[in-house]
Amino acid sequence: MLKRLLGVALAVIGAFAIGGIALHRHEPINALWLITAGICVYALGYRFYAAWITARVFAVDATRATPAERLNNGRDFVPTHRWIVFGHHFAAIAGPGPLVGPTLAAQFGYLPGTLWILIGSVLGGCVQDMTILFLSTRRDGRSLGQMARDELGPFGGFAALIGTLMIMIILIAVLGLVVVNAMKHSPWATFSVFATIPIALLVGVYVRNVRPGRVLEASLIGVILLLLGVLGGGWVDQSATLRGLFDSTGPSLAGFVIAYGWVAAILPVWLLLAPRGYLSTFLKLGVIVLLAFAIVVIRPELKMPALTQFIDGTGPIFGGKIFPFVFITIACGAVSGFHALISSGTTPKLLANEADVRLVGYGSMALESFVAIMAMIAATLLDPGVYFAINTGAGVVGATPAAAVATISGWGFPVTVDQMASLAHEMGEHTLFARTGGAPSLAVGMASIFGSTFGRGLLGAWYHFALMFEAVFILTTIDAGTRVGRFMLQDLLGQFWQPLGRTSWYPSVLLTSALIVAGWGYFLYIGVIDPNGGVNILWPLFGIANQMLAAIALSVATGILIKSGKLRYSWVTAGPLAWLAIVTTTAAWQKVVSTDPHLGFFAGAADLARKLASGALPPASAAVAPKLIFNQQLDAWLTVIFTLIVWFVIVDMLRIAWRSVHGLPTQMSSEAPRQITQLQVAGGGGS
Amino acid sequence: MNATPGWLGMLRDGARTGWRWLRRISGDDAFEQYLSHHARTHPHAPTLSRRAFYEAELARKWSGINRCC
Repeated sequence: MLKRLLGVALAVIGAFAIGGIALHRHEPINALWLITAGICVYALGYRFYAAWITARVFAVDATRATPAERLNNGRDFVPTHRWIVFGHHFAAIAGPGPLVGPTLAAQFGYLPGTLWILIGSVLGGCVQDMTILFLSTRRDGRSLGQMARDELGPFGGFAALIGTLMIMIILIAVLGLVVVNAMKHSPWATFSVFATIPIALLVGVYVRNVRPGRVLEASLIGVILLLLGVLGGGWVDQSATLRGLFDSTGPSLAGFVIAYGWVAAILPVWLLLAPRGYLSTFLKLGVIVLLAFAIVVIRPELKMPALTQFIDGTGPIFGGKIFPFVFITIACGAVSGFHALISSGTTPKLLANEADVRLVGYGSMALESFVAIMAMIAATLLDPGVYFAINTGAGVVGATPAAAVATISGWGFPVTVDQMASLAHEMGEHTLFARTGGAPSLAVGMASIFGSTFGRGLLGAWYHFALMFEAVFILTTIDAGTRVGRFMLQDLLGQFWQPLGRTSWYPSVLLTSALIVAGWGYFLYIGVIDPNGGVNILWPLFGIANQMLAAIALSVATGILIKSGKLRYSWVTAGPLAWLAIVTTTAAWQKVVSTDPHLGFFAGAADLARKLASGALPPASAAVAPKLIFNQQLDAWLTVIFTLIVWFVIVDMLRIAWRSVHGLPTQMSSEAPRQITQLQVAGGGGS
Repeated sequence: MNATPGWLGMLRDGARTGWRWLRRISGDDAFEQYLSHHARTHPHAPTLSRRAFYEAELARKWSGINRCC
């Protein structure tokens, strides 16, 4: 009875908050509305929808032994307390994606992105993560690719592998671009990001050679050094001689990130990757807690309107109308296909009880979605004029500050050169114009929040702390992603020539790492030389790829549900699948066939080619134009390939489903037989 | 034990539990976990050294996808 009352109260408060957000117009709204709406929506989704799915659709069996118990080896298969698994799972899924996507989508206003983050997560993303986690737990912790192969057939498995590899390459490229744009001509940011590398090496040696396995003390030392690195960057910035050493152009920083990615992929993990992983996890959890605390303390007003005129597709940060592009731009934070790879890899091997899938799968994604809401708040509390000045490339608004503020003020978002100059000065930067990629504007937002809470004197340090925090995250994803991409490529190439598949054979390691790095390095380089900022092209490509991976994961889930006789419940995953299929296909269609050069890849290439031929481009732009033209055409073909792969998987799933419903033979279920648990059931389940 | 006032004891227990959880979640106590598991399941086989265990753990943890976007 009490629980029911609580549910009703949550529903009422949540409805009020969402109504308040949606109906508030023409006056600033307080960030607390978003926080309240978020908490209520997640609590309702968790309390009712997730509980219903686990009970009725999955029929979770708390007495059934999990792989962690049956295959316990004290290493990867270990029955673990559900809150510990929650922590591990959250640390693995939460990357820079939910920080960048909402920041970019704020060009439509705060409302569309916020609603999609809330609805997309409770009905889509959380359900996807939980379902894949559950299915993998029933299958000895098999990966998404293996499940696709086992349950749908070899094609599904192959599509999942190729899809994963391609999205990894695009993801790393776009994240690399975000870091490069944050460091470009900023000695302070460059120094504090560079400093993370020797610090990670030091921590790596410490935790392996000096005090083996003492992760906590090593991480503590590392985090203190990182903070000193941020302060040291401020000192470097003051010194006339040192400044020049860390003042680099975009292309040279891109070259650095590319070389770094290759070295990181071939170095032993203990030296760089593992310690960076520890540091980024600590920073991530610390910053999220600090940010939530600070937002509640200062209760900032959002200055961005609920909707901007850019919902019509003329947005400067990326082209395309609100439908489908808000759903593409915010992938992580609402639905992220990538999570299915985590939910089907490490995590299911730790679950002590099946019933824990609700907390671990659904709950972790709800928390990540909440991080996305905070990123949305940090982006929209800036003056809209400032937000657009930071996030729009010089190719769109004009190369000089005067031209940029004139263009942006002309859109109805007043901003002045003085205002930008004094903001840049406060943040310890030379300029904040055209720092595209989302990280700098998020850092300005975070610095204002932290500055208002903990004292404004250190704004520059807060800004660079926020940048360093994002960079550590991103470099971890670059390292880990390149490595995983290398393993996948070796797996693939090993089928043609066996020695290439050996993960410890050095020639193969060097070659495959170089191939992966060359893949993302190409897109990164093109993004850096693109006068429009590059993000406008790469981020939609990444969003489409990530949502398509989600469509593959949801197809696997739907196929398995139907095969196990749960046709009438299959809408739980088929619904989000249908939505993603519509959204991604529409987006892909527009990116390929649109005649608007701002939106369509082919149209963009043709437009640039025409300008090049007529001699309308300034010499600097003309020099890079052929590369940009080729790249846009390549992006168009990639989009076509992504779309075809997804539709092949969906059709394959429908074929299996049709056969299953009509009693025709299909692949055997790969579910492991039931065994009764010997563990105490009391520990798991419940709410 | 009885001499400590109730709230102080609770505070101490709370801190202890918190510390234990922090060590577990960060993997700080992984070696102890391994030793106790090893002692339970194969009491007579030799155990890995702290460093060898740490290296083996890293090789396992970082061979698959464990970081996301």
